[in-house]
Amino acid sequence: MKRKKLLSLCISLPLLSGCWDQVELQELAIITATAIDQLEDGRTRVSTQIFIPRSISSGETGEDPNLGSTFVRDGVGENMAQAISQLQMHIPRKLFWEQCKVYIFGNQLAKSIGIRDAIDFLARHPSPRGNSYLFISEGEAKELLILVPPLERYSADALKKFTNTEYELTTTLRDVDMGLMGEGKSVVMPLVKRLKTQEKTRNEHQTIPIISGTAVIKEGKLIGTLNPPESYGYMWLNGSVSNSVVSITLEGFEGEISYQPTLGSVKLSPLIKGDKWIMRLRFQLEGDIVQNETKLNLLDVEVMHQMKTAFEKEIKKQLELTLNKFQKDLKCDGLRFGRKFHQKYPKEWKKVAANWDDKFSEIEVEISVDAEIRKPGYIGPPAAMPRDEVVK
Amino acid sequence: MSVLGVKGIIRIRKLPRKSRKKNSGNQAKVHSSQDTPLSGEIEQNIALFSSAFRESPDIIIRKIHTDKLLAAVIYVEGLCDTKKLDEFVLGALISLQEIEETDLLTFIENHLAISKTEHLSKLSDGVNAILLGKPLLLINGCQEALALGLTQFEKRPIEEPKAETSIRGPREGFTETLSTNVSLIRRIIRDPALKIKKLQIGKYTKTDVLICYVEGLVDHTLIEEIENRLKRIDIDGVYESGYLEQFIEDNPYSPFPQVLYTERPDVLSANLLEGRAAILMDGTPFALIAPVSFFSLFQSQEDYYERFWIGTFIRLLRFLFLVISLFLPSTYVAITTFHQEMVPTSLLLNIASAREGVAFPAIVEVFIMELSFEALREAGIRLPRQVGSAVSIVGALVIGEAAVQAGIVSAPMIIVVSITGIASFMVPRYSVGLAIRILRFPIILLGGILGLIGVMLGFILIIIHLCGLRSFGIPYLSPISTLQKNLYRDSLIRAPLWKMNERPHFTGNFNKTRQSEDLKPDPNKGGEEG
Amino acid sequence: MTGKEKISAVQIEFMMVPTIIGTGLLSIPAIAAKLALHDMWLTPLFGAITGYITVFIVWKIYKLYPTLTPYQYSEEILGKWIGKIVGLVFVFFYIQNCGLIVRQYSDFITSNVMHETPLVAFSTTLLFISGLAVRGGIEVVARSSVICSGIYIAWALVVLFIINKIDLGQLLPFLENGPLPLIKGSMIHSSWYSEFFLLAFLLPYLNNQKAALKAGMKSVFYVMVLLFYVSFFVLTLFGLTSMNQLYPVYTMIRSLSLFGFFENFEVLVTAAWVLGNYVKTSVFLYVSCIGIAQIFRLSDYRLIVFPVCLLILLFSYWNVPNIVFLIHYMFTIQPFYFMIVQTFLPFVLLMVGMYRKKRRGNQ
Repeated sequence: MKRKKLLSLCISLPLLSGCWDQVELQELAIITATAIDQLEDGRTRVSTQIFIPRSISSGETGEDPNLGSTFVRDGVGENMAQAISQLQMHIPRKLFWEQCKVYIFGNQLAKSIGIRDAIDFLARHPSPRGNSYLFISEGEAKELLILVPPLERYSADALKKFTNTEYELTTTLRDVDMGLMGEGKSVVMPLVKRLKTQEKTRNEHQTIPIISGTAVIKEGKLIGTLNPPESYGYMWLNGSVSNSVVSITLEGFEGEISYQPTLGSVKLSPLIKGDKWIMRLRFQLEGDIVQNETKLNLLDVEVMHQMKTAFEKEIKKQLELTLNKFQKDLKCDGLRFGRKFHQKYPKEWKKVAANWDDKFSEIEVEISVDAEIRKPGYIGPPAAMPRDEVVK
Repeated sequence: MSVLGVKGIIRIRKLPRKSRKKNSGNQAKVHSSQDTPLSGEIEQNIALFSSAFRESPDIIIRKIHTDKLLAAVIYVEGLCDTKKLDEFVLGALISLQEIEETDLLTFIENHLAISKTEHLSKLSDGVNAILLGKPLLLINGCQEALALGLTQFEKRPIEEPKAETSIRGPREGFTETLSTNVSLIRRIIRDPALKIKKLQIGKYTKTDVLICYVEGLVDHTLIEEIENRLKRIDIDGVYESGYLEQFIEDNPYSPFPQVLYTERPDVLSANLLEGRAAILMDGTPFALIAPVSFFSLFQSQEDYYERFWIGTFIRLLRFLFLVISLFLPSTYVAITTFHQEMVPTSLLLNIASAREGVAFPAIVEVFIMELSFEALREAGIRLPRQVGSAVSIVGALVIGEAAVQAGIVSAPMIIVVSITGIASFMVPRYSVGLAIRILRFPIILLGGILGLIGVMLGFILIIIHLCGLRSFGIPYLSPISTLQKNLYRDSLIRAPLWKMNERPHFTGNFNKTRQSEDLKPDPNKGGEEG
Repeated sequence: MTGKEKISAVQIEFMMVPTIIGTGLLSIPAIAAKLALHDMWLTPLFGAITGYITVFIVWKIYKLYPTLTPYQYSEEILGKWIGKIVGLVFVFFYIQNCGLIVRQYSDFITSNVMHETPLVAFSTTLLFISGLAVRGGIEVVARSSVICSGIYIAWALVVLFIINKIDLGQLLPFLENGPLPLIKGSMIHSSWYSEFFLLAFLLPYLNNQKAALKAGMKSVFYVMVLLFYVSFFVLTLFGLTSMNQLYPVYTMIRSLSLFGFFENFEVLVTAAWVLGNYVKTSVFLYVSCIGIAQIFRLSDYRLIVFPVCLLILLFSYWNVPNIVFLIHYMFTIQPFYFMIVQTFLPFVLLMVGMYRKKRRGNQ
């Protein structure tokens, strides 16, 4: 019996001597957003937005609206890892990265040294998560962290909520990783900027960051941005069509008719005919009419047909704009055409893989759009218009 | 020698009786030599009995001196039906006209209107009979004495069992009197196949212990084993069936009970008809049932009296809450101190805010709260009824609020502990509930040391222990671990009654069917009218 | 030495499945992806061939000697001394690999979940618990495996939550570089599938002899389905980035999101993995202990369980210095090493055994 007791004592000792990984909640600094900027001297600055847990029992229910529930602190270093270790020295609690879902890269950083090094840190370090969201800011990334939203708890929360909808483009760390590693060596990321405060009673920084555009990253560096129509085109090519509006005018009629798609799908079929590389793009949409500025009665079959053709033409035009931007201006395959060709024609792909960007610009794209108008809305003829003015 | 008490097939050696010699020396002083026969002279017998019952004023020796005979009745005042004694014995003796000298005892026996009588010839038997409540009739000229079955004493009437209430079901429970209990069982099982074996355990208490079983349904090796284990018990006195339980179980070190106890005759009878054996003891309403499996400890009689959807639902709920009551506090500790990334962000921020002012680390908090809860529970059992309910509800609320305000514990912890407490009440058998309460603490410790991995290791340890545990040779975790298909119908779920066609055949492979096959109710079956 | 303990066919299946995939799930997809690229989803199917072959060999020998473990029948077949040497080869093989398993398990947990805790905490606790189970006997191991495996397999269903994000296009191009990468990837699987030789140590306890072959084949089938399921999801979710990660399956779990609210529950899945690794360690430990007991004719194997645990602990440190080494080992040495000991050697035993029985039958 004595030996057994001794044995169990020996076994339990190392277990009780210390709980190495144990961290109390009060010892953690919960990071909600991270901004990575480049300073003028080339060093990297990492700023983190840290949550301040206010004790409920202390009776403090109202918060000073100027302060918000977070604060920002940064660290500077040669690269991201060094910057973070310097940052940890300025914070008494242990940095907790696991809950951080928003990473914003500064414009300067993206343009000059590129985001590839930072991505390496994020992918290699165990804490940052593969499904956290990455953004590029239009100016300095840090200033987006200082913002205090009127509705949400912290500015990153507002950005996160944008990612839940399909209105804007969002990319996760995994998307960026896969994109940069893929055939096109590029990825398209959303741009964020500060929304200007509308109310006069609020301060400058009591606002939220919003997604304002799209940036194209090639081999880690920011090479261009897409303007709004091009952004919409890009999103359509990804299949996310909600919240986009297409407006046309019919010949001979004044006013615009607006169409909002609800469902959309893109089918890309690559084709190689001899020396010519063709990509067949079939874009299928479904949507409703949301606004009618003309005097036409939309319940008419003839009118519907005309509208359909006009919408399809307009959509095709926008898509061509986007494709043009990628092929001619940016010379960058952000549309994953390379993947498609690789899947179907692996041998031919291997031959051109080295200078894919040039080949990409030469691809002929045949676009066919099929925009179904499910319904003209609740009403047929234009609203608030006397009967006799409606044109049949 | 194995660590976990795995014994394989049930086999226990009989220990030699080493230490009883001293005791029997003492005993010799109290009683005169055990085998003294009674003499024909009544005065001698009376002298023997008087010396045996020296300092016992409640033992009455009543002499009868008529011209026909000289007799004496010795009885214990509180244990006899004195009315019947006076009327049927003393009255009959006094009014006897004729006496037959030959075989006097039988003659007198035939003239007494007493249904149960017994001839005794030894002093020790006589003393035992008197102490059991049977008046002893000594007659001058007879070598034997007559013990009369006139036992009557104050006893509790049959009431609803307090520890095992149910909404639907009979409200009769066992009492402390063995004969009443047996009668309650006989009222349910009315077949002569119900057999009872009688033993006496306890040197000074001489408690009657009965082993009940249904012949033809039970494995005889089981009965023999139970009998052997009971006969091994060499103790001064047994007061409750818990004593018996602790002396006959397979693994005394396990926190889990290997024997079931119940206060309800319907539960007992149902278990007897499933091939188990029951042990009843005089002096306690709690009867033991063996062998038992882990799942039978989670069955309550109401699962069967209600329809099968309710039975299944409640049973699944019980298992869910079993897991919660064992693992919730440790999971909370593990998650908030090791794996904070698991919590959804908004919840984590809330919990962080709640824990901001608290002085203690999470694991200390948990221990404080759990221990207080256990203390409240134990104290609640002993509080007088009027005070009890007020203290429990109001006290818990107020104490909880105050503790949160003072920063001793955090609000989420109070919720965790309350849910755990409620979950532990879901277990129908109190003995298992106790096991779970005990086991919770080491698991909290493991969770605090190694996080969720520690909790999982604790889980595996418990599983290993349960897998090796046996109750009278039956694997504790059957049917899950032994994977007998048809027994699933009664373990995690409760299949409809008309589907439970087979008896659990852990105890031998004979006589499996307990009901006929085609019992599913259907308006089209039975009777000519549609 | 088999005693009176009996286990059923279903218990054998429940024991074998986590034994094979416990560590397989961690390591195989990354290596297979590196070798077979876009065809890695097919590699489990071809690797299973080794599994079926091994089970078949085991069953054939079982039919010759239904109540003997491989240690005992190698002595029967090859004579006392050579048989003992073969038995010692098996024992050493299993002890060394158990060390590897424990190391992999501890490495995995410390690098992913608990970063600060030293390896020894996890290795010691796992070995201690497995030791307790093995001391309880094969029945305890079997029964606890049933329960633990059930929970462990349930986590596989968890993956269904992310079905909407898979990209089937990652399955193409098909056989891009010809069948050779596919075969190479399958070879990696073979090292795990050949562990089905452990079945030979469990079959003597089977309570129903006829069910032996079916139990074995069913186990191989389940393992194949599970590995296929996992490889398929890893490939369609991550594409080729999966070959860059050390533990792609774990990364896959990390990206799960339930109702957009419950995220980050890879720790729960890791905890379930502890169960799988416990089963694997117990089976390996049991096989090693009865090996030593049977070769050296000890009366009871229970006495040496904890010393063997200590030995395995030492092996877990001594085997490989770090995980890069381990992966290199898995690429190059392991397939051949495992197949020789667990498939080829039993095959030799089978041939000699059949030849001897035939000769004996003729005499």
